[in-house]
Parts: sequence; C-alpha cells; structure tokens
Amino acid sequence: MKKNHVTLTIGAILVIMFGFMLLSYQVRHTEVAIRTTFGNPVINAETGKADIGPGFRFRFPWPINEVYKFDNRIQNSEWTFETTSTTEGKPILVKVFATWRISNALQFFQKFSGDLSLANKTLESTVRSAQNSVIGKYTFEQIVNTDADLIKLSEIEDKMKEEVSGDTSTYGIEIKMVGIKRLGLPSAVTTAVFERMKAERQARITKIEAEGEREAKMLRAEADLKANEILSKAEATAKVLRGEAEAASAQYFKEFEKNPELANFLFNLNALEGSLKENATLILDPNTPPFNLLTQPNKASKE
Amino acid sequence: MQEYNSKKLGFINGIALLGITIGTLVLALKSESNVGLASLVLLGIGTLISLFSFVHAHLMDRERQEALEMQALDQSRDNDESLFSGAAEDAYPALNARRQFEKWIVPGFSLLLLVAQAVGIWLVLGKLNQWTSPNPAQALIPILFNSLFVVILFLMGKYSAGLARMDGQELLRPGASYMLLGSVLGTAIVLSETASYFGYPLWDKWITWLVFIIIITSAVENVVTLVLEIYRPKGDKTKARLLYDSRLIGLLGQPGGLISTAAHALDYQFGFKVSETWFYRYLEQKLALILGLQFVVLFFSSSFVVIQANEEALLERFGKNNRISGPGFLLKWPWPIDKIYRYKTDEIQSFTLGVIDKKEGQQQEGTKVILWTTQHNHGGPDQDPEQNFNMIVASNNADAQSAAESVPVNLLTVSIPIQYRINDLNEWVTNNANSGSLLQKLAMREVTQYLIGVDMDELMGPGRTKAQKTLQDRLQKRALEHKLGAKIEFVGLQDIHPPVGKNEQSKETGGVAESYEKVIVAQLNAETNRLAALMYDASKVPLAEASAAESIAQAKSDSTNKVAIAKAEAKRFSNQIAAFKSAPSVYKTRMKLESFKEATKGSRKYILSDPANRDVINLELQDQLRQDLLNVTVDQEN
Repeated sequence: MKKNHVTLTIGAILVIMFGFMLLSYQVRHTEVAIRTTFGNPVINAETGKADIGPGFRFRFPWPINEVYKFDNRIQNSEWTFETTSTTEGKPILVKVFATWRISNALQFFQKFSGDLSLANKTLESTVRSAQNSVIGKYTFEQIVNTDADLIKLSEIEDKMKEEVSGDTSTYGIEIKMVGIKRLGLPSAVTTAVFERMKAERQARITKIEAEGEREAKMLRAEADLKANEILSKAEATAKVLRGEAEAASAQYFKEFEKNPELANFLFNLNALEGSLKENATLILDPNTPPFNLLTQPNKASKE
Repeated sequence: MQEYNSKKLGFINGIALLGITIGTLVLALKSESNVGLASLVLLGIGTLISLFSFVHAHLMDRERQEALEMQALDQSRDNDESLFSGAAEDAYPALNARRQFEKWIVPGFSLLLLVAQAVGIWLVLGKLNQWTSPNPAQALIPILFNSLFVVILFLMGKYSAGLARMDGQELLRPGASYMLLGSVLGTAIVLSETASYFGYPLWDKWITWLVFIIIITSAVENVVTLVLEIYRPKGDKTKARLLYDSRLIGLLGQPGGLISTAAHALDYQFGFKVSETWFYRYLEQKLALILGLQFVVLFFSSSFVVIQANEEALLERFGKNNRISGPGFLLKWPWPIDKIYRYKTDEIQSFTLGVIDKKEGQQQEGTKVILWTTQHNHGGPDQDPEQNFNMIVASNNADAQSAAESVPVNLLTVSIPIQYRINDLNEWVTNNANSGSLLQKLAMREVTQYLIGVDMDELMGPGRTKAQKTLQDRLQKRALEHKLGAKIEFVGLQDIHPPVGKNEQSKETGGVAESYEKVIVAQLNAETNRLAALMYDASKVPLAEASAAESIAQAKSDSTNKVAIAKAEAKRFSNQIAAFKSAPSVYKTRMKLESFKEATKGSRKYILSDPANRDVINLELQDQLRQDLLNVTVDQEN
C-alpha cells in the first residue's frame, strides 16, 4: 500500500508537470510569438496585432491552440558579391548586407511560414534589385574618391534602404539598415588596374632614379666648380708671388752689368752644368780639355 | 507438437523480418530517410538472429527426437541396462551436433554479429556526418507502409515473446525481441517521416542519432557478454543463456521487464539468486522512492548556479529578462521558471577582415617569413592565397585621374584583425540575433568606406597610425549605434600591402607588390648616388683647398728662394769680378773645368781618339752605377 502511495505520488507529480507543460508556454525576451486557435490567429484587441511579448502564458493543448515563436532580435543577412554598373557603365562588384527585424509576427508567419531562411531568400531578390537600380544612378567617382565630399555611399545606402523597405512593407519585417559591405572590381578590370599600378610604380622608379642622378651630378659639378675656383685663385696668388719675387730679384741683376763678359761666361757655365746632369752621355773630341791631356799632354799643360 | 510449432514460428519470424527489412530498405531509399537506413542495421541483425535461432531450434529438436528414439530402443531390449546404460557419447550424434554447435558456432555467430554491428556503426556515422534532409514529397507511402510494418512486427513479436516464456521455447526470444524493437523502429521512422512531411527535417537527424546510440550500445553489450561468458561459472545444471540473445534489445522491445531483466542478468552472472538477497529486495521495494528522490534532487539542483570568474550570466524568469549576474554563487528558481545563459563577457574575441578567417587551432608558424612579393595567406595555412581580398583604394595619382576612361583606383590586400569584448551583455544578447556577425559586417563596411576615400601611399605610409585610430573610432561608433554592447579593443593594420596574386605576376615585370619594392630600391639607389656625390663634394673642395695652399706656399717659397739666390749670386759675382780681373784667363779655365767636372760627374763619356778613323775611347769616368738599380729584384718564375 505504501509502495502504491509513493508510486502514485510520483506519477501524479509527473502528470502535473507534463500537464503544466502542455497547458503553458514561455516566450523569451528575445522572441515574439503568435497563438492560433484551430488555425485562427488570436488578435489582441488593444493592439490589433497578434504579437505576444515575452513572459509565461497559458494555452490549450494541441490541436486547440498552437504557438509559433520567432526571434524578435535584429537579423543580419548578406548575399553574393555581384557585378553591377555605375551610371557611366563602369562595372563594380558590390556586396550588400541588410539588418532587419520582425515587426509584425502574424504577417511574417503568413508570408514566410515563420521561416527565417525563407525570409532571407526573399529579401535577397529585393535587396539585389535595389542595389542595382540605386548604384546605376551614381558615377564611379561618387563611389570611390579621395575627396570625401564627393563620395555618396551613405546616400546610396539610404536610398537602397528606402527601396527595400517599400518592397517589403507587407512582409511583417522592418528594414533597419542596408549597408555596402564590400566593393571590388571584375577580374579583367582588376588585371588592368594591376598593370596600371605597376606602370605607375615604374614611372615613379624612373623619376626617382633620374632625380637621384640629377642631384648627384649637380653635387659633383658644384664640387668641381668650387675646387676649380679655389685652385684658380691659388694659381693667381702663386703667379703674383712669383712676379713679386722676379721684381725683387731684378735689383740684384745690376751687379752683373759691372762685367757682362764674366757674367755671361758664368751664366753659360751654370747652364752647361745644369744641362749635363742626370746621366747624360757625352761624345767628346780628344782635343776637348781636359781630355786633350790624353793626346797632347804638353799642349794641354800650356793652356 | 508444441516444439514443432515453435520451430515453424521461428522460421516464419525470420522470413517476416527479412521481408520487412527489404521493404524498409526500398522505402528508405525512396524517401531518403536516414532513420530508415539506420534502422536497417538492427532489422538486418534481427533477421540473421531469427534465422540462426531457427537452425538452433532445429538441432535441439533433432536432439529431442534422438533422446526419444534411444528411450524407445531401451524399452524394446527388455530393460537390459547393462548394454546401453553407459553408452558412449558417439551413440548420440544429434546431442553431439547440438553441443558442438553451441560450443563453436554460437560464439562464432556472436562475433559475426559484432562485425555486422561495427560495419553498421561505421555506415550510420558516415550518414550522420553527411546528413541530408529526407525528401518530404516521398514521405506518404513510407509512412503508410511503415505503419503497417509496426502493427505486423508488434503482433508477431508480442505473440512470440509470450511463447518464449514457456519452458523449452527460449529460442524464440531473440527473434521476438528484435521484432518488438522493429516495431519501435518502425514507429520512429513514421515519426521522422511525418515531421519531415510537415517541414521539420531535423527530427530525422536526431532520431537517427538515437538509433545510432542503440546500435553502439548493443555492440558494447555484445562485447561485454562475450567477455563475461569466459568468466561465468559453468555448472552442468545451469542452462546456458543464448549468447546472441540481447538483454538490451529485449528491454527496448519490452521496457516493462526492466527489473526482471536486471534480476535475471545478476542471477545468471553470479551463479546464485542475487535477486533473493535482502539488499536487492530493498532496492526493488524502494526503487520508485529512490528514483523519485533523485528526480526531486535533480530538479532542485538547477536552483544552484556558480558563475565563473570570466563569465556573466543572463537570468530569464518565465522568458523575461530578469537580471545580469556577475561571478559567484547564484540562487535561482528551478528550471523551467528561471533559466541561466552564460557568456564570457571579458574574454577578448577577435576576427580578421580581408581574408577567410583561419580555423580555430590553426596557428601560423612562428618561423615563417611573410613577404609582400611571395604568395601567402593571412588566414590559416590550408587556405588559398587567392582568397585574400583585393580592396579598392582611392588613387591620388594625377595622371590616373586625368584619364577619363581609366579607373582612378588602386587595389590593396588587407588583413585587419579586430579584437573586441562584450561590455554590455544585455545589449549583446537582446538586440541582435547574431551580434558577432553584425559586428563583422559593420567592420567590413567601415573598412571599405574608409579605404575608398584614402590615398594608398598615404595609408601605407605616414597615415597608418591615423587610419588605425580612425577605424577603431568609427567602428566603436557603429557598435554604439546598433546597440551591440561591444567594446572595440584593437584594430590592427599591420597586414596591409599591394596585392600579390598568381594571376598578375609575370616573370618579366613581377607582381604589383614587387613593383612597390622596386620603388624603394630605386629610392635607395638614388640616395646612394646622392651620397656618393656628397662624398665627392666633401673630398673635392678640401683637396682643392689643400692644393691651393700648397701651390701658394710653393710660390712663396720659390719667390723667397729666387730673391735670396739673386742676392747671393749678385754678392758672389762682385767677388768673382775681383778674381777675374786678377787672372782672367786662368780664372775662366779654372771655372770652366770645375764646372765641367761637376757637371759631367754622372755622365757616360765617349771620346773620339781620332776624329778621322772614329776610334772611340770609352772612359768609365762616371760614378758607380746607381744603387737603386742594383736593388731591383727579378721574379724567379719569370
């Protein structure tokens, strides 16, 4: 009897718990829910909406009541990196993302059966359409430019958001943002840009090398000029000094005028002495003094 | 007669299981049901066991008939006990056949089952790893047929299981257990197909996991049974349990028999009636209470939570955001009233923009050198370098902008690590479904928008630090705008350089990054050239100054000499005049010869002895040969 009592108690607790679970539900603070009675959505008389906020609530068990819960937080979605063109026909790769949230749970359930991935797929076409139509109205320079005032990316994003919001107004979702995540260039253009970048670098290389050469040459030329100037000045000074020495020494030349014959004789001797130095080879007549001593010793002694 | 009927029933069971296994296979392939395919492993094993137990039953039947025949023979020989009472074993071929069968074939069959279970585990695991959702369009017919299979298997299994409880009918039990399990599996297939039909394909995956666990558990049980059989005490009076009769499968087919199955297992294993001990009986009586108490303890244990030092916890009460708790002990209402969600808020989290992010655990080699000019990846080592993004950067190049048809842009490979942490858990959890993913998108957007407005040379040069700061500020601003609850700790710009791709790199000109390096080389060459010129300049002028000074000094010296010599010569001349006047001829000759001697001291002299015959007298009157010429050394090799 005691065993039955315990078993019955535990059984009762379990039944209560399962019954409680069947007759109640919780909506998390990150969720929104809708409840249907035999398939008809239960509309709140005050708000006119079927949305049920977070909290604990009672329900009838299936199949009388069914509760559908959805994530009420902001979702973010991104799609393919695709080519579009600017107003002047320049191709550009764009990757767009959007953030959105469920604004009307019943509409969302009716349009997408509550399936977030289906909503995502549906959004893709509207966002891509908006992306192509909006970017097609702007020039490339309004998308990429070093002048910040000319860039219109924020404007493009706002217009895309407007278009997407308009297209999805009955889907039960609210578009919070449409943003350009990434920009790129098609493969052929990328290759051309690479070539241009290389050419630009090559031009810079040539310029740098030429400028280097010019600067080096200028420095050398300036150095040569300065050196020449210094040497020329020194040469001039030397010449002046030598001239002055000539002038100073000339006063002593008068002394030679006293006996020009002797002076000339001595000058000749001096010149001869100077010219015969450094291993000169002489071919002499035997009559040349003092070698005449070798052939005419007596005559030589008389002389 | 009864034995004959049970043997026949065993055979019918085997054939029925075989038919249902084939039917399930066809239906599972048709609807692409993973649960159906996984169930085939157990159904197939059940078919094998049913047919094997039929053979076993046949042998036992033969043994029984042989015993009857021997008994009849004994009676016909007028009870001559001495003749056959001690008959040799050879006299009972059916008995021997059965014993040999149980000794060798049954364990061998158990091993075969183990192999089948292992293959089944491998196949189902492969299916789970590459799980694909079933085809809901083809679900209806499998639902109908599997429902039929459930009924057939349940009725036949229940009937066979009832018969198997009778003495001598144990061989029906293994097949009956698998038939009842087959009915459970059929129900699972119907459930998963129905869920798939109504748009819940994931049920198929979870139920397949359950079936997978059952296969693993039965395989483990098979191994354990085989091992325990070796150590089980074997008495002649103890009837051996069938090795291929799984208690687990019996339990799954008939969960009501849990306690009796446990008791039988203990009795069988220990060789005495464990189930009759006081402890076992106490456990049996209080089992419900113990389980109940455990349930209560388990339920209330969810009221005690310890939040670790690196965590914060979000407490939800009936789904509503109640509060955020920091580290420490936390008392809460039990589940499902209060629920706790833990987050490591202080932990630095990071992602890298510009590349496919590297996988966790794949660290870049510390010794690897990354060059702009060689193919490399900023992500993991297994990733394709071509995955590095080429980001558009504005060009300030005047030539490029002036050309109307050209695209005034440059391309840049970037890899920007961004580190952040959660600084407001409430915002992080509440506002966005995937805050981390949104932060990455916003970061990429900011980087894209920043790059398109900045000059590449500026960015890679002096503007790098400013860019880093600007990007961090902008991203933090966006995080605040979108209420992400994240604090941006770091934005790195260390990996930002001209692109290097396989496609654009040519042997002649190299890649874009290489051309950037060539600019640096050219700058260095120009600088080298300039420095050489400076060096020339530095030496040229002082040398010229030195030469000038030398030249002037020489001139001064020459001048001084010139004047002094002139003065001295004038003075000497005045003295010479006196000498000349006293002996003009002698003086001149003396001077002449002295000068000649002095002047020709080092000269080689040839004197013509007779001008007519041109004889030459060679007088070696010169000085000894110059000493320096004697010092000339001649290379021996020459």
